[in-house]
Amino acid sequence: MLNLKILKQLNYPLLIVTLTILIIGIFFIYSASYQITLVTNAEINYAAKQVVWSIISLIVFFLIIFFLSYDKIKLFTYPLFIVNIVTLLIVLAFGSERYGAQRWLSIGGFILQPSEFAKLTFILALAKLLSYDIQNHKSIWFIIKPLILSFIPIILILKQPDLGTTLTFFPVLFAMLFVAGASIKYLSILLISGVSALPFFWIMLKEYQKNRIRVFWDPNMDPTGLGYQSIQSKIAVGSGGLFGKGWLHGTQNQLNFLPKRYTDFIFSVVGEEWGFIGVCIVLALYLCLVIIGLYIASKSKDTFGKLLGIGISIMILGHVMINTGMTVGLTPITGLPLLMLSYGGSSVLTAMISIALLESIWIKRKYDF
Amino acid sequence: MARYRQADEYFTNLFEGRIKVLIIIILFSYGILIFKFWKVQIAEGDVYKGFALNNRIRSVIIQPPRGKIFDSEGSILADNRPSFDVEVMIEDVPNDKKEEISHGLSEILNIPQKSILKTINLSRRVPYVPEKIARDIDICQLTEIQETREKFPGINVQAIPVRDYKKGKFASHILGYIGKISPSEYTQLKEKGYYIQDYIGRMGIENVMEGYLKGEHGGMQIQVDNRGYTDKILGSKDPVPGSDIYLTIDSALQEKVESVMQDKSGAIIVMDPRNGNVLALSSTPSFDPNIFVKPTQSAQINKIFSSKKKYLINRAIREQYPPGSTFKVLVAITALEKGTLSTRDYYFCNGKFYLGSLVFKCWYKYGHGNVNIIDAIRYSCNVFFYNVGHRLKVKDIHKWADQFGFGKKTGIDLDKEIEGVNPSNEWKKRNIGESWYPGDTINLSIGQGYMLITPIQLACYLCAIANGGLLYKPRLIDKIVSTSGEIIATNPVKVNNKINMSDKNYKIIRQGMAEVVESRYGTGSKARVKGFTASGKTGTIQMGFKENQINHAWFMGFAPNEAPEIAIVIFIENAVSGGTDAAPIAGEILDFYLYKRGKNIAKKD
Repeated sequence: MLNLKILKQLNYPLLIVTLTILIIGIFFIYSASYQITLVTNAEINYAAKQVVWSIISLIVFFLIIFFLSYDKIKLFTYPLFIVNIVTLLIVLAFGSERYGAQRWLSIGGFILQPSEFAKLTFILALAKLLSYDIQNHKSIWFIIKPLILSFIPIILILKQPDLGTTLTFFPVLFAMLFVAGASIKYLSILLISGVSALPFFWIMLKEYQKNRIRVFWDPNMDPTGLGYQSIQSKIAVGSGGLFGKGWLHGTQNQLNFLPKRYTDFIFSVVGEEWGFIGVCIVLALYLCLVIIGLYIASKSKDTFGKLLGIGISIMILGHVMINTGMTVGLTPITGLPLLMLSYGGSSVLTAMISIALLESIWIKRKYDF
Repeated sequence: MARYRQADEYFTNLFEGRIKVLIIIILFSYGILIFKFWKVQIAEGDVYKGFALNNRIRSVIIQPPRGKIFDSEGSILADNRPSFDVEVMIEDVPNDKKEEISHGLSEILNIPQKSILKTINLSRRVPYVPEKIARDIDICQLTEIQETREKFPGINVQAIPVRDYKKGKFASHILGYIGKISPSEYTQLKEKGYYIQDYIGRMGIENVMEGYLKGEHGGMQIQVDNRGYTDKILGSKDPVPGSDIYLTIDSALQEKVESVMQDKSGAIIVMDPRNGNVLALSSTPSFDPNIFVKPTQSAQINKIFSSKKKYLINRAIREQYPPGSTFKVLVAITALEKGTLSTRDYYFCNGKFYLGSLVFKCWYKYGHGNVNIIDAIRYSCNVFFYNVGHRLKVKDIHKWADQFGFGKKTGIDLDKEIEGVNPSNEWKKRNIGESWYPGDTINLSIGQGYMLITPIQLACYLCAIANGGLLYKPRLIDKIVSTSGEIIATNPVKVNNKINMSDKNYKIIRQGMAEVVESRYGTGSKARVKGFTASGKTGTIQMGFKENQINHAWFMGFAPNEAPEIAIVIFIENAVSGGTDAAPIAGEILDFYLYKRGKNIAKKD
């Protein structure tokens, strides 16, 4: 039986902001793939595909709202985490390689990206671990246990290699530890040792990842290769000016100068066609999402719910910062989609499940499990 | 549940505090993000707008077809054909594909991969101007590249009109050649509408008529996509083809003239004495101007530039020689006009002429005996002219030589014509630093010494003798016609000088010259042809001393005697004498002309 009363309890600002971003995303995917759609006589229509993915994601969203509140998910958090680790291992062993990285797994015609879901299962597992351990929050083990938990997916995803997704784990881990009450002293030590471990991290990187970071410092080092994306994206965003060139009128976009423009670089298209005003609107929408997420976390009476809400909000924030930052050369270019705006089934699905979990926390905010 | 309650209460207070810190961090990093977007889009927006424009809008120059060059009968001498050139837009070549592209192209084009890579990696260049990888590829290579085009991003094949000299070496010194402009020339020429990839006339008609031949560049502004392929044409201007040049050259005669010279070095000029039209003009050895257009001919170009044979020098206008005995006619005219000579004056030739202690020899060491002006021209007797010259002042000879155009450019429609030397007392003081000695006049009176002339000057002088005193400017260009068929300019017949000379004296000179060819003992009797009466004068000049001495041969002649319509000047380097080497060639040409004229008359009837 559907309990329709739940609909009344939804956090509507969160839902409306989410849907707005999704719709803006579909419009820009349409614009970014307009030339491809024209050339292939609409045989390849990414905007239409994204609509389908959005509908599927909305169905999943409501399934979670109606049947699977976050406290039920909490019960099988660890099995979910382990299943996800196994799929990551399978991807490494058998996954299909695209753009020089093994990230995809095809199941019955669907191509899934387990690293996308790993972000969620990781946050769930971390929230559960921390909430059970909360009374020892001043202990050093309160930090060390989550660290061990995090390192399993981080290593696996870095091996794929997927630098962007790996990067989102760190702010999430740090913010969740911080809010959960970890000792500032130990956190500082962690931060300092993390920074001093960077050279070792550098050694672990593959050559192309190192190059990406080198090019990040100086895009002109390789203007037609790696630096090309960085330079073209900056030109796109910069030439948008205050008001932009208008939807479907971005020359950098429509003339194919922007690579990966309907996935990772969708925000460059926003910047070019809607200008600084459009950039501010979209960034403001994401900020609303993050603040609402944090508000929901603060209103929840349940420790697990609070930490889950924080984790999801920071994950969204991490995506926004890393992805939009790379379109203007603020952050290195990593293969990270912009949640809800970029084209891609796994990414939309992850985003909608995240929002559904936030809604679920909101609905049950008065309960303490 | 109760187990955590205490902890939760504590935690809730802590949480609220830390979440506020978190929000401050978030807003701070958001501030940095927005600031960066403001900087890129607003503060530096115009810079990036410029970049975006550069990215997508390119100007493409369309080269105009060069004007064609025709002969007098309208058959084509210099045409254009398409040359398929492989070009690279370096900005459009992906970095990781350079190796692959250069390898693929090197296999198709048969050029070393290294040189292709070098072009692709050029750093000092004008941005967004294509660079040439290979020129004038053949049709097989063209189709191979077109079929596998997606393998070669940034590479384009462009059909560019190039010069095609249909008959190779034919009339090469008249037509000249074209060459690519150099970067230093470009800085001066760009204001005149030239582009760095243009060719410019370097010599001959190509050079002189450059302004008419080049036409105007067209252009297109195109919007391109990231691979450099045209997406949209924003605007275009058609090129204006260059105008066509019609020459006075008679191709059949020119061909004959070139064939008679074979491997001899020298020059031949055939003119129409009635209007100064140049019917044929050749200089040997000659060259094939096509090599300056075709790629991979640098070895041949080097050979042509460095050879001692001076392939590129148009000997008809750019080399000066003593006129030798051809000048005797001028000395005779001077003396006749000054009144120091008449047909009744006889001088005795015993093979030698004494001037103080100096001895001047006649070419015929046994002497010609008692000769008058007619005999002297016929036999080309030196002693007679020593005597005549001795009674003249150098300034008179100088004046009459000047009247006939010596020492001055004739103004032929070709470049780099030289003036020659018409010496005088002042000239010698100025250039040698000595005054004029009587012995110099003796030498001058047989065309040796300081006097230097070009074959074209001799041809003009010959025409003036043939037509009774009109010194025409040699006419090589007949008209200039636009591609639409409209006559842009004509080249009217121009008389450089009207020579004031009595008919009686003309008759004397003409009679002497007629005997050179027609008389049994005339020095130019080998120029005689059936069906025509011709006149002429031979000349042999000695260059160098003793062992190294070489002779150059002159012959000048016109026909028919009653009403001259063809004048021929022949100069042959390293020959025996004018009579044995040059005169028979004149005969051949006259014979051919007569045969051709006969055919033309038959056709008209």
